[in-house]
Amino acid sequence: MRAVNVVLHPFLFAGITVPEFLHWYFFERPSRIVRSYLAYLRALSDIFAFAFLIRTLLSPWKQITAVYPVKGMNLTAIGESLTLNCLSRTIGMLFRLSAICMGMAVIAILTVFYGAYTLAWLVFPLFFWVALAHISSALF
Amino acid sequence: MELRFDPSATRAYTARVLRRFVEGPAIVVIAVIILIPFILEELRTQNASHLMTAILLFGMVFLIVKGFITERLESDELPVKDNGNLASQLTQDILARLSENASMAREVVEAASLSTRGGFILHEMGISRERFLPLVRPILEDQLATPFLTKVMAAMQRFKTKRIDSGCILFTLFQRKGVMEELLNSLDLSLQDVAMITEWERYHHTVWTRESFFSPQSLLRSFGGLGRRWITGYNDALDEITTDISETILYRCKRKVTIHLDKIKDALLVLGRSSQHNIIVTGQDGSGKQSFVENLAHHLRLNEVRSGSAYTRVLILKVQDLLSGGQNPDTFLLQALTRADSQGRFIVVIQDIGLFLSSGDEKLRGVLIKFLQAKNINIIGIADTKDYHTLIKTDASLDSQFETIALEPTNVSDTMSVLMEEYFRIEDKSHIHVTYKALKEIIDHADRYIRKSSFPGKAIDLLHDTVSHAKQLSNTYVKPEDVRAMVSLRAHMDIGEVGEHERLALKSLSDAMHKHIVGQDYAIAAIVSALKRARARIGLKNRPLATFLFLGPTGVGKTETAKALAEEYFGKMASGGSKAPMIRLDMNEYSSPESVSAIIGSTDPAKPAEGYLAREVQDHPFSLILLDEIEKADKKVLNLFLQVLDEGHFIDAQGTKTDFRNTIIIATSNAGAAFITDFLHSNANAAGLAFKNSLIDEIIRTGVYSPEFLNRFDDVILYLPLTKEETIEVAKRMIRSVVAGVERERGIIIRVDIDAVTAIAEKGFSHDFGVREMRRAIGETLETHIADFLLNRPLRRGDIIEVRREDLRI
Repeated sequence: MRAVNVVLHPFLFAGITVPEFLHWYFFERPSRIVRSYLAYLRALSDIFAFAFLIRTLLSPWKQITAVYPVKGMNLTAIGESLTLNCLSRTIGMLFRLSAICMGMAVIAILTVFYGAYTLAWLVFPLFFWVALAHISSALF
Repeated sequence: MELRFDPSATRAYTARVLRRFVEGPAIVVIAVIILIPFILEELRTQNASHLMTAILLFGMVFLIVKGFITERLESDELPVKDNGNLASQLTQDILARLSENASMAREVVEAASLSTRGGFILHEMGISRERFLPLVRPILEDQLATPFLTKVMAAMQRFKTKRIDSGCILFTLFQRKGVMEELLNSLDLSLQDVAMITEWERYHHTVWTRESFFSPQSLLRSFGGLGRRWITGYNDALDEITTDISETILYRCKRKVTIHLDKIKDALLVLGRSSQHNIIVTGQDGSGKQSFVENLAHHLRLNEVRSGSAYTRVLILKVQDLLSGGQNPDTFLLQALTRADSQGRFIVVIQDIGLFLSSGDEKLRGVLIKFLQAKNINIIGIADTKDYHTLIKTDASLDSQFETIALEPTNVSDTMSVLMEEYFRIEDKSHIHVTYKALKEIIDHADRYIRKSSFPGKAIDLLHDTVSHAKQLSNTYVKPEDVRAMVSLRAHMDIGEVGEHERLALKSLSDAMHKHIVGQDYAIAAIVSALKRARARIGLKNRPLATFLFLGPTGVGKTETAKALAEEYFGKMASGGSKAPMIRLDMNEYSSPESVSAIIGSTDPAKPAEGYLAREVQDHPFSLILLDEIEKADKKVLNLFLQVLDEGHFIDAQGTKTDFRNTIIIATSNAGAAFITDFLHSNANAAGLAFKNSLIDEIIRTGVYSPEFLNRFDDVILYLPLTKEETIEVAKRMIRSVVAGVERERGIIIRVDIDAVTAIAEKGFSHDFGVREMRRAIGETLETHIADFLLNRPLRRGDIIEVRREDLRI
């Protein structure tokens, strides 16, 4: 750095860079954070496939089904098939519900994380001055 | 608006200053200075809360400032604040290397060349920074940055970039006449090439960045969609004989350049149909059939993820496992696929359906046909052109179930994109630079010399070969010479010197041919001149190297000329080739319409024929093709050859394109022989254009050949009957070879009198057959005499026999 510049530049610095900084800090960075949050949200929704899981909530597990007898009223056979099918669907439902809950949990964590991040970011200037006051009081 | 150049008034400069401050020793000193009171206080009061707060505060401010520098100040995307300051139009990587009171164009150019992006461009051009900078400095001696950059703005608009990057600066520089122009010429690059290279570099910079593992897109690729496999049932049988590629298709590295995109869309439509939804992917070796199927699976899966539908599993059939495991592959397949049909949607890919159909039995074929009509199963077969034409097209029940997607070889610009992407991938790993010129050479040479496969496969293979070769030699550069060496290896020919060989061969061609042939000075001169013209032809030629029609009486050297030409012109190029590069077709054999199939082959099972000419030319693309007595050929055969003369290729019965662009085609004919002889009786002096023109007129008049036919040839060469001296010369040469043979085998020297030679010559020559009879004449006279002599008087090595005219009993 040239010695002369240190004198000239503070004016340029304050006049140009500081407004840029403020714009970046309060506007650009927060919007970047929000955009990043939305991207992750979208990706997680695709990974956990909520719509698909809900649509297929009661489908049989791994296509394990039993065929109902076509002719006649063989109550035993019908009962057996019914039991198996209900069980298969119940198991399927359990797996899918737990997947949905897991997904919800992950998204909740994500939201909390990003929310806290954004809040902390915006509140930091206040915190800065408060903390500064606090520690300078300790010194002087 | 007044323009100035002030690097210190840019965001990038502020960034550099701040960065130097924040990352340098100053910050450590300041940190210590600030924190010392707190440390002391902590030691005093044993209360660390203030210290902790101070450290925390300091750390956070540090991170925030760094974030500001990287995201805002060093960004090239933000709109320029001050349009009057040309320095703010430059990209950050150039400004970072510029000193704050720079004002000369020279400094800007140096900064641009030293940046990574500028370095990339220079590497691609084939020049090193160390060589480039000393050349450039004197040119820009006193020029100021402002006028220079004003010119560069024009380049910025041409390439539509937001800022002036190294590419714009270098491009503007190379537009100068003088030293820069000479430099370009020495690198064998045009200005258009330089523009291409800068576009490339931009592509490399923007698109080829690696995503971090945690970015949303890569997470999606890694983890895919939960729950979709829970819908599909268990199917052990199918799992045994197939490999599922759709599971990880999104996760694997996706190609950014996709060729055959329109065909992929067609394929997706076909797959979406409810019936007739099977595909055969065909194309030459190397046209990208496997990649096509993978890209198709990728697109399909991407669509399904977006629309939230159930996944279609794309399975590759392990044909070998199926055929070799167990007694009944057909029942196994039947069971597996029947189950699958009720369990969800599947696409079964048979990678070599030709192999599958020819080595499996009839029952397997039956199973295949059954599942071609299944509702939830699509079958994709990959076949090369030959198999497709022979096995599938000929079978109506199969052919109707498949939709054919033929992959054409990519054109030059698409191949260049694919090659470029492959190069970026290789360069990342191996750090070997391949210059732009070398990549172009790869495409040119692969097009001209490697006939077996097609683009883009052969270009990519050649690229890999050249890079491995360079790695072995510990080179960091791949230049056009290296490419030529690799192509020579692959094509079994000495490419490196083909230009040289051809040139030297042509220079001495005339003399070389006269060694083989007596007389016919006019003919030889015409041939050599036509070949020279052909060589000088610039641009992509879609015709054979040279084509000639030899007219003249029989036995005067037409076939000899062809043989001599083949040996002298092509013979030197084939490395270690023992076979003379001449393909001879006697048109007498092709005088019926069916004989076309003898040339191009036929897939008619009733009359199978191997295409002789097609195969020969495919195997030996640098040959001379001799068509003897072309007037005897059938009309269909003639048309076939006319097509070759015009377009330089034909497509044989198996769909393979046979390329004649590196052949010389010679057709001989006796038409007009009588006219020639009569003409010569009346006018002794025969050579000259006038004679040729009148001969051609006569031929056309008598309807032997049409004008269009004659025009197809590069030149019509006239063969004149031999003069007496020439006949004697022919006799002399033949006698010489007989004598040499005897000397070599028996050691006996034979001296033949000149009168004897003349007599033999007269005996062996006839108007009707030229010098065809000369061999027999020599046999009847000279050889018989010698044989008798030997019977009566046994001789030893070293003895001499004198032969006079009287001895020959003529």
